Amino acid sequence: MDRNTELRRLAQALHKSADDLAYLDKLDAVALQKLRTNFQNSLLNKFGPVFERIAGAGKLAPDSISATLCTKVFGPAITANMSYFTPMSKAVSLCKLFDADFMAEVAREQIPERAVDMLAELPVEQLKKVTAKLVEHGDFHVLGGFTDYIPEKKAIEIMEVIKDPAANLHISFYAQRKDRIAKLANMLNDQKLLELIAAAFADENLMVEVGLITAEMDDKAQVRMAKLTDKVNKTYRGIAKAKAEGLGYADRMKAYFAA
Amino acid sequence: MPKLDAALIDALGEPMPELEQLSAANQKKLAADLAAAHQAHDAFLKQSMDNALEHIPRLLRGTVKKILGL
Repeated sequence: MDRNTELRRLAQALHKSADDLAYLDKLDAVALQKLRTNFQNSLLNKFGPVFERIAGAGKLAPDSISATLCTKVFGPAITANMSYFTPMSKAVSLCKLFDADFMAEVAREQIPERAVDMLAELPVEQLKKVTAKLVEHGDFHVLGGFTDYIPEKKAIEIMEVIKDPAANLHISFYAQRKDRIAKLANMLNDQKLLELIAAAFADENLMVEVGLITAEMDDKAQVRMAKLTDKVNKTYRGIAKAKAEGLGYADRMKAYFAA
Repeated sequence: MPKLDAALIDALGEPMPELEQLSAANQKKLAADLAAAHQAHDAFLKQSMDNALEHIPRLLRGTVKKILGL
């Protein structure tokens, strides 16, 4: 588990910057994750009974009426919180009646860990539309959180709608499952990967991110990344090596540096 | 090692022993950050609730609030 990713996610939840939370330096990634999930659960527990009652009252209403109430009366924050207490089949039916803008607003308010079942049930076409909206608005932290919990097959299809290679890295910035991002990145064609590498080396933070992703790849994929990196710029691997050694993940990138 | 600050338990709703690694001052700082985020979240939800209730006729609002436990 990457500590910096977890720190960024906690900072988002607390409306702070990662630098503001430097005083938590004694906590490792697991403790930071536990702190974030405990905090998010405490937020939900406080108003949980209210949302449960609202969701319960709407169970018998026709979907079209419930959907109108969500979009015109409750709004995204209440809808997001109600979703945890709505039967899955009803929640999925309602989501199909929401437009992508409203769904994106609801997603911003949801706790990814609590939306696992919904992510599994929602049609991939709908998830693609929401993803495109969130990318458009630069909500990478939201997508990063969901990336960890979205079924892999869907994640592969969703990646198609992310046209900007740097966006993939910004999403990865907030995703804990770098292994999954590595797998997805390895499915990209050479041209897309070249664009991704070029975008990564244009920004120091993204360079670290692409390093952490490459570190999760097998040797064959690392060699491919190395060749493509050289194609972009022959000096880049040297820069990446210095960074990886400084931050302690170079030993997981041996094939990349040896190629 | 300092014991867990009571304000932290309040903010999280349960004790989290891992936080005992933090100094007493940093525990206080974290408790303040958590409390501020709680307040911001509560205010945001309250505003969302008020907006939703505005769609209900004024005479019924009190009853609806009571039913929902607000």
